[in-house]
Amino acid sequence: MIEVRNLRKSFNSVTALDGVDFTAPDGQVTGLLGPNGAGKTTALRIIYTVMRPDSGSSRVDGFDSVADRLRVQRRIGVLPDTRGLYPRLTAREHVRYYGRLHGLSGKDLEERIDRLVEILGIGEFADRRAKGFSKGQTRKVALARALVHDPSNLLLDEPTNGLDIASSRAVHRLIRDIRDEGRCVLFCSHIMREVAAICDRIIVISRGKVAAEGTPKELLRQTGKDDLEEMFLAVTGAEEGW
Amino acid sequence: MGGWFRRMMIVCAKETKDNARDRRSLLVALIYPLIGPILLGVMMSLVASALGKDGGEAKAPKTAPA
Repeated sequence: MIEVRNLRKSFNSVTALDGVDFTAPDGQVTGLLGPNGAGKTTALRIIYTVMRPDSGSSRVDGFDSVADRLRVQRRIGVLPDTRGLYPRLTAREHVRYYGRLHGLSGKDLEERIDRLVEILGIGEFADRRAKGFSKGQTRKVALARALVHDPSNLLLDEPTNGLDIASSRAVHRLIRDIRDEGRCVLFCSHIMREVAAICDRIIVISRGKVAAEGTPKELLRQTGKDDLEEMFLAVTGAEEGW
Repeated sequence: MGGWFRRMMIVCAKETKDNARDRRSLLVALIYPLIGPILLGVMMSLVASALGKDGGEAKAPKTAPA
């Protein structure tokens, strides 16, 4: 479970988070939505310990993201917004490297790698070097390395961006399976159809604050809209355009 | 401490593998130590042979007459 309380973060004069509060419970997929620059990625970065908040707290399974960084890191799998791979390592070597960093080794690690290679359909390029991978292939490898240590909490920043339909569906199925195992999934996306299909709860962040929170049906009812895109525009006050 | 050292070794092993596969940086890393002493040797022998022909008098700085 991920609990975020009164999180504040500023970059010079820009306020990225202005008292964000939310909970992502176990056994549910929680969608974090918001327009560009709303503070979603900043919130995720604080949760996965690469950034310190100015004030407030973020806890993963009860462990503080600042005071208990290592414990938090063991409990989360992260697919960040930037998914750089080492160009001269193969897909399998990437997953193995991250598995080792999480303390896995030997037969157990190799079995997990084989399982992820099969689930994510990486087999065809598992032993090829990452240089020249397509966007979708890169994303699959990044997802595999996020899952290698079997984390109880999964943070996904636009996981299907760049994936074809079949791969997107495979990722959706995987996310549902992870949820059904009782794990917590925090999920950022701009694709409303995907959000509607996967998320049990939605948190809309706008201008560094939680603008709305609830199940998709609750949010539609609250705003009186009949689709999530309209709800999103109503809640964030955003208008069509750049 | 043990965990920290183990992680450092894992990162070192990965970096070594990654860099060993980079032919260009490997070539650059190997060429300078190999070419450097050879180049220095050639230059030294050229200087020595130039000095050897006239005992270095021609290249010696002119001093004021007594």
